[in-house]
Amino acid sequence: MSDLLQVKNLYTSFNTEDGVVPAVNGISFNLKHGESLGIVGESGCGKSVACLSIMRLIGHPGKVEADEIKLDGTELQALSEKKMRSMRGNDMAFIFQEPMTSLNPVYTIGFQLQEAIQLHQGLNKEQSQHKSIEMLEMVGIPRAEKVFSEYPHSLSGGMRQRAMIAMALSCEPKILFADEPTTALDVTIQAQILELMTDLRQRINTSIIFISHDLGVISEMVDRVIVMYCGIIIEDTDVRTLIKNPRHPYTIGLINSKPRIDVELERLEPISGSVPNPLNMPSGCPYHPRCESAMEICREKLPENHEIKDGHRVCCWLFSELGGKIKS
Amino acid sequence: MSRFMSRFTRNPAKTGILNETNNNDEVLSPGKIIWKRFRRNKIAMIGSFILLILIILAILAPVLTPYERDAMELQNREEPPSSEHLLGTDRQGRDLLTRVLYGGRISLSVGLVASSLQMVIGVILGSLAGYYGKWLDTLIMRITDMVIAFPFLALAITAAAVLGPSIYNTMLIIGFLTWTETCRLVRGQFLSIKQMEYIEAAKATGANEFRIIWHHMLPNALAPILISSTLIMATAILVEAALSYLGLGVQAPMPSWGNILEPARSMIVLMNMWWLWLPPGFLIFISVLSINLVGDGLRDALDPRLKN
Repeated sequence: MSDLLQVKNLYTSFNTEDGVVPAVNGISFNLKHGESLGIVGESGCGKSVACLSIMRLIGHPGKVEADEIKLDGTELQALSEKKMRSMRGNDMAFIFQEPMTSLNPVYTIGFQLQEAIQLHQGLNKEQSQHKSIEMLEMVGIPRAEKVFSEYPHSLSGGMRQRAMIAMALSCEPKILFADEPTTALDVTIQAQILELMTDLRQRINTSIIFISHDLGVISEMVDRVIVMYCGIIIEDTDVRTLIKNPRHPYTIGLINSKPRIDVELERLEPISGSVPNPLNMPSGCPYHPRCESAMEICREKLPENHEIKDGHRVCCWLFSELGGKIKS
Repeated sequence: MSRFMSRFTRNPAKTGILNETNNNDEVLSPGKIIWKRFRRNKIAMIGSFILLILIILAILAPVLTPYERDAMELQNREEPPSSEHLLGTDRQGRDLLTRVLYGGRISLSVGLVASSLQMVIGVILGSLAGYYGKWLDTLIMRITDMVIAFPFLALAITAAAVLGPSIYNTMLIIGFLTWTETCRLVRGQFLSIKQMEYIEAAKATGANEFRIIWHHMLPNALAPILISSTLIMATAILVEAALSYLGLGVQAPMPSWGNILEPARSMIVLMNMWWLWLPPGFLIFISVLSINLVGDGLRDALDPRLKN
């Protein structure tokens, strides 16, 4: 499997009145064809911003810089805005978190579905209508032909999210960014939507980047996981390893703070402290003020990535020789 | 324009008003829901009914009266109402009913054209300011402030005097002086709609800026634009009447409700010849009132917060 998406040293910052807020601080990752990648992290750690940066959807006052953002060999940063527009929706699609507000209330579901299809595939009205209804059926919407001419307000949240998925997949994109697509839905609907996405991924052969803060959802959905904290990737590994054998202290904390059904616990174990203010980042490793195994060097220098096993990267001094030496 | 209006039929609606029950299983477009709510408002329906009658009277003027618009009967000047001249005649012996009916054509169309003109200007400037922001926003909003800062009637009179009085100049002057409210309104709407997730979603499907502004944002801002333009139309009719009354608007022999009133500047006419000024005055009053009623009804129908 070759790499579909290559991201190298992506930086995104926002120039606000209070100063420059770095949202993404130099992340690099690859995504293979047909792979599904999860991005986990607390609110505000830069998950969504990273994906929006790749699609070049960060508006003023945001600023995106990267050494490389390549999709299928094409450097996205070099493309004109016009070329980029023709790729959005066609090669890359985005599913948003809030199905209640991500459909335009003044247009019918059908109109909105047809829009992307007509924009990118050059089909005429009749063909695109046919295709839209087909898509609605594919995402499991009953009475698809009727829903086609209905307005978003008459659909439930789960239905709207299905319609959003139909919209996103209508042009069979190479990559689908799903930004917490099930956070706003209740658990049963959530399970249905996740199942649908897994099923469709195999059918259309799309790579998915799945953003979530829910480790349970992530473990169901993806092959590989990236854990982000304060705009950097602190751990990158396959999903099994992440759950069974996490190495970064933050990941360990995350997994320990998750309620488990098989262990009886009086209290959950949260990670102490809170996310630092992005305007006032701690020096060195951003996690060191909350880290139980923090060392001298953590305060001074941002750790490098260490590949502790094949395909398992951790960004922590604990695993470097330098860090190890200091500890001993 | 037809494209623009066609959008109105599947119109706006902030999500809130769309929770209307739908028992007979038919798809209710936002336009239909608004019409349903508007229809329930009796006062607004009376307003639209009166307005409709005024429009029909204006359109059917040639059918309704046997007289020519400008035909003078110099032997019958300043005649009080009679069976021959239902509303009497004016100083040149022209039939006043005929003048008032034809005047309705002029006054209503000045109102309509001027308020459409201000809507176009206000929507374009407001959406540019709201969508692009930054220096363009500052520039447009300062221009708006400047226009608002001038005393309205003084500026209108000066402009009419400089440009020369005519029906087209009247339309232009009113249009160019009343767009500020719409502009501010549209800007505000755009600022909030810009943050909506469906705009982000439209960008993510690869829509260009024009498409986003025209197809995705404007229809969502249409409700307040329509309300304010309706109310501004009433203002425009009043301003036209004022300018014409002062001799700076529509020029005789072309009649408008305002310039039919002109003789009432003389005390003798005002005291002794009520038929010269009462009918056009009443029509100005009733048309402005009914337009305002329609505007208020539209607001009630379109604003989700005023539900019931």
